[in-house]
Amino acid sequence: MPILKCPVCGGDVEVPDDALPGEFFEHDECGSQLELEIDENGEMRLRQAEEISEDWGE
Amino acid sequence: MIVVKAGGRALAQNLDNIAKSIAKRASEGMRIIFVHGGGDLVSEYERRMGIEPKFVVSPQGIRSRYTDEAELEVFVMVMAGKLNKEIVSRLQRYGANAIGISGADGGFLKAERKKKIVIVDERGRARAIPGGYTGRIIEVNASVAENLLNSFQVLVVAPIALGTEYELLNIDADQAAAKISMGIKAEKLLILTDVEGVIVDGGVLGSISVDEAEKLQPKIGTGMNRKVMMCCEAVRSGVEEAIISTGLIDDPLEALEREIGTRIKT
Repeated sequence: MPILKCPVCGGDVEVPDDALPGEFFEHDECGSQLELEIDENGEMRLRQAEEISEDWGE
Repeated sequence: MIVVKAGGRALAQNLDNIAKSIAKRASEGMRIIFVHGGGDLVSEYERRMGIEPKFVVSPQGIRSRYTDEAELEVFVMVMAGKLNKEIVSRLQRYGANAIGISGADGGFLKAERKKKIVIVDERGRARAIPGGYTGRIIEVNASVAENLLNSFQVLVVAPIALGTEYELLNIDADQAAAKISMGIKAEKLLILTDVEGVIVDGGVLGSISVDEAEKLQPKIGTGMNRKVMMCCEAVRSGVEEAIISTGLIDDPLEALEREIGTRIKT
């Protein structure tokens, strides 16, 4: 399983092999909500997840 | 002015009585904006056109339509076309001079397209995906409603808004009704649904304050929760009273006059 850096505390975050772009992870150590990004070269990185409200359409 | 909203299920089961009930109040001089849902009908037409409707589930368990470009086309055809005009014709039949528009007409409703939504995917994991063609209402042009209601008795509104780049967007009809009630400073907001009101511990709540409604939210089911949130927002913004009541009875707008359903006040 890939191990990525938490952008908030710098700690290690283990990500499953089958993780998909946009997937959320909570970092156990610092409690941050993180979102997985995968660039065009297949490089994975985590960023702090933004608040997304649920007022969807009809 | 009064804003009434009915969901697709209440309309499918009781359109005739809802139309009669609105027409009766309109003949007594009440000025009514009627916002309709109709998601099930959109799904039916999508299937007829060979498009399988896509649904996504939020982390709170709310199942919603995922509106991509092909779905948006059918959504607009059915909501602003077939269903909106069917409601208008039914109101005309019962003597109410009604006009139907979508929120895009006259720039009535402007919305911001949602860049992302969070879903729980088929593996049960939360993920952000592109928002598709759904929006959050950011502006209500009250003069559109005022001008039309100077000439017509009932304004029927389909839940479609104009995006910031002039794209058409699918908007939640409960949200549309609440935002319209706030934008036009309506006296009351009535949300008609397929249950009797807000049900907590097996019983229908009668009259509750906004504070009480907000405290009760963890006990309320997810679909109803959004309606309660929108009602609270409307009442906090100056709408005198928001009512959630059944659309399945003979005279659903009775809820405006009689103590049925759940009433949310300041």
